[in-house]
Amino acid sequence: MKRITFAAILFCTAQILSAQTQIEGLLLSTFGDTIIGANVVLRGTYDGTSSDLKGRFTFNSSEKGAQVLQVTYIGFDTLSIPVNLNGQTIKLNLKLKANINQLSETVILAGTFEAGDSKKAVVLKPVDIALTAGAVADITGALLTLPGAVRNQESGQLLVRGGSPGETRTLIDGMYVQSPYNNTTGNMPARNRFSPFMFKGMSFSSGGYSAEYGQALSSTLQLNSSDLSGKNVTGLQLMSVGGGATQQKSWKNSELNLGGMYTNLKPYFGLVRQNFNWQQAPVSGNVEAGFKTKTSQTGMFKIYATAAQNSFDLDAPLNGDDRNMAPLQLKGDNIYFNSSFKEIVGKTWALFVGAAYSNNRDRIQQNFNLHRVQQSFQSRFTLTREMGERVKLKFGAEQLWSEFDETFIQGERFHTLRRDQNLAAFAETDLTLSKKWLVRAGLRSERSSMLQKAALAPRFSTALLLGKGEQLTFSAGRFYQNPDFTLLRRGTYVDFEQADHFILGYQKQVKGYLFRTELYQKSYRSLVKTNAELLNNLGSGYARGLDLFWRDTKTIKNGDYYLTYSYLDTKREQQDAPGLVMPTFAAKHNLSVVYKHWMPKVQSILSASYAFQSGRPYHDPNSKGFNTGRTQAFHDLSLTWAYLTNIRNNFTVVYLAANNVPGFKQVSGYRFAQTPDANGQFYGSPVLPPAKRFVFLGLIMTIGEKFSKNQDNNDDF
Amino acid sequence: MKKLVITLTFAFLSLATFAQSAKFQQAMGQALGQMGAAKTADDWKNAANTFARIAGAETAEWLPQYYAAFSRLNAGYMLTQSNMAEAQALATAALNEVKAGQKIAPQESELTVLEAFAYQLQLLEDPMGKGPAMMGQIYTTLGKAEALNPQNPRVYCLRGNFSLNVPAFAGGGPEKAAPDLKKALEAYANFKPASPFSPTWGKGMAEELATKLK
Repeated sequence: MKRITFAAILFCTAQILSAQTQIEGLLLSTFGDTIIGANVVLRGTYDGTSSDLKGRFTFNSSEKGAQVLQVTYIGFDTLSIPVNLNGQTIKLNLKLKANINQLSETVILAGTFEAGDSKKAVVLKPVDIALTAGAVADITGALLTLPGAVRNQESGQLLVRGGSPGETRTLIDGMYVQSPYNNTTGNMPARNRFSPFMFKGMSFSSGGYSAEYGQALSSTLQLNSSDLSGKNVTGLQLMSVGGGATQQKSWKNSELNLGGMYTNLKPYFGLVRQNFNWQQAPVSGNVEAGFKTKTSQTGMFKIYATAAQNSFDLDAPLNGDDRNMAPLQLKGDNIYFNSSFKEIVGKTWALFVGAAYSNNRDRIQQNFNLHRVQQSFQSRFTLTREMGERVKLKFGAEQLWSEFDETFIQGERFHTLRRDQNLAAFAETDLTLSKKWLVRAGLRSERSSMLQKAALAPRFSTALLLGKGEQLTFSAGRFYQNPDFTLLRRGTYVDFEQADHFILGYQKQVKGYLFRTELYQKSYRSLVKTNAELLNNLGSGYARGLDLFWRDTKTIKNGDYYLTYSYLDTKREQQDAPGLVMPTFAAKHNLSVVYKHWMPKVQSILSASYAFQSGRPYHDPNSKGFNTGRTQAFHDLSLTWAYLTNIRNNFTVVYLAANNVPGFKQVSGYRFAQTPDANGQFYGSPVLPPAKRFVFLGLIMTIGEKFSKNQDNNDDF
Repeated sequence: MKKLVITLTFAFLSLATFAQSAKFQQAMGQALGQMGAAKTADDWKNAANTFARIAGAETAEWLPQYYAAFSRLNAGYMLTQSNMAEAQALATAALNEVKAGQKIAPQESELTVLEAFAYQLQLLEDPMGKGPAMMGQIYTTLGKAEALNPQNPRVYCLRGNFSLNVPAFAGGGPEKAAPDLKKALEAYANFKPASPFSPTWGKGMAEELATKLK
């Protein structure tokens, strides 16, 4: 009896095994690509296979009846389809849909330089910025080595493609930073207020940027703050010019950051001879606090606040005549606050809400007395929705209130108070027309209460992927900006200033190499003119040129270099210029070579950078023309040496930087006396940096989780 | 008669269980054979798919998830030179499989080792940029695996390998790696797999690494 049952069971099993159904098919993506190595399985069974090099799959199953065939592949949505197994071969042609996240990773590169760790278009990383020779860990200093940027040694600010300093807008987490540079005057170069290490990435757009942002004729610099690191770390900085400390405390879902820094250049100036006679060497201090918390699986709330103060007092030419010097004193105060919240709402909408406040005060005294307070408050929201795999929609609105309050006393007292409420709304869509063709189109509307004007700015960019790592881009757009408050002392009866951008770009990236070039044309319209009785918008101008970028991280072992060249042809009729002239802040040829070499034996990174800039215009009142003078060409060679070590198991970097090592004479322009001498000549003198060279020594120590924490047997060094 | 029916029912049931278990044993055996023969990244990915199919059917077994993740990571490491984006996608997929395995066997040291192995692959995307943030995570994860099973040789093998690849200034280096690699060799010598399918890999790697110390 037993034997019979056993035999029967065996028989049944054999029956099941023999009744096989063959399932075969072809797998393609919705864009028609062959899908290789996808996992095809009858759900809940062992039966299945992987698709082959042609996207085909074939397997047999002894299952019967209604089953579910499941196809999984990395980067694509899982496909489940019902099948009925009855012994007859099943033939299937299946299309897999790319995961939305995967597609939106493809970015349109026109005009944008990304620096960060998340995007594909990485050009510079925060650590690169810290180690770029000549930059001395200043964000702006490093960006000035990128194509499109024009060096202005005397201002230290970021000027892009013939744009003035005010035409670049700095944003932190998408929010406006009114005063990104520390307060300065009298040709003392400014530094960016923010440390590159605060940010996980930055995106520098040299033109044709998204409709999401406005009020910048030339470019945007977007700094994106880091997310939770999960670490408890203390950072110490000791420098030849001061010191600082940061403390980071982490909990499960949140992080608190506190920091402070004090710098005083007095001891340094005691050692190194300066071009300027300092009454009081530059002193600055700042404190900052930040808090980030994950509000849910997908939500993140961030808040950041910083307060800074700086001052100096130096002998500066009186009325432009350097034979006649008088102390020029500056005191600056700055407060900045930024908060943002991101969350996925209703499963498909990504919401961003942010607010930012800036307050900046300058007090400058010489034979005049200037007291200026600028404030701004901004709030904005954006909503993003992925509609299927080919359409992404983003829209939002913002409000930016700003106030300019200035008192200038030189015998007479002049007071200017300007307030503006700028309201803007935008909508933008990213369309994936084919796997190789992306389009972004947007529209932005802005209204200024001060100017009582409104404007509509269309933006468009498109990218054609030519091959792996190769793309062609085109971008066009209209950009508006309020005239600078300093031009509006006499009145506000003017319109927005305007610029139209056209950019054609090509990029090719293969492992270890990146080549990029862009050709652009910028037309300025309705620039403010100040040399008529009434302010007017009759100014205009253009900037056109070619940018080249080449980076090679492969050819030289442990070496990494990039080369940039920018050709710029620009003229403007604006402010007091009588006609189209080249502005003083522009230079025709700009070249940078940046090299970094990693020496593992001595645990050091040596970095060198060379910069060349052809002569910049200056206005000589003794000549007939306007801005017809040209300074001598600018050269700079800077070196940085970073030694990486650990002190008592704490990661430490010793950092030595020297700018303008050969001591080139760097003339950024000429100043002329405001009144002519007895012979009717205006006395002129070159504008020089505060010192020929700058040498900086620093030690940065990170006291964090000990490396040996989980290796109690190993802490023997 | 009643007794006979009960006996038969039991016999039938245990036979069915046995058949199911035999099917699992056979599938795992074949899949391990496929994995053992893998040479190219595509071979490893196909092996991973095979394990993933078994994992889908056997929701109470952690080993298929383990080997699926392990195969994917091997494919990923092979692709770091030619296709980093795919290597990173494989690391993410492997981490999901490790997590799925950990739901079944939360105290399994081998899965935690694999988790750290996946983090190491993620770190390779940008060692300079990700290093400071991910190094602690890797050491912490391996520490967890050690706590779960101090006899697991792969903990020491992987940690020794990692320390060897981390520059001395960042807390790595040969001196740091040496005690771990020594421990790894001892642990491999004493290691007794808990089941025929238990992970056994890494011995050759540990031996090779140990020679690099000299």
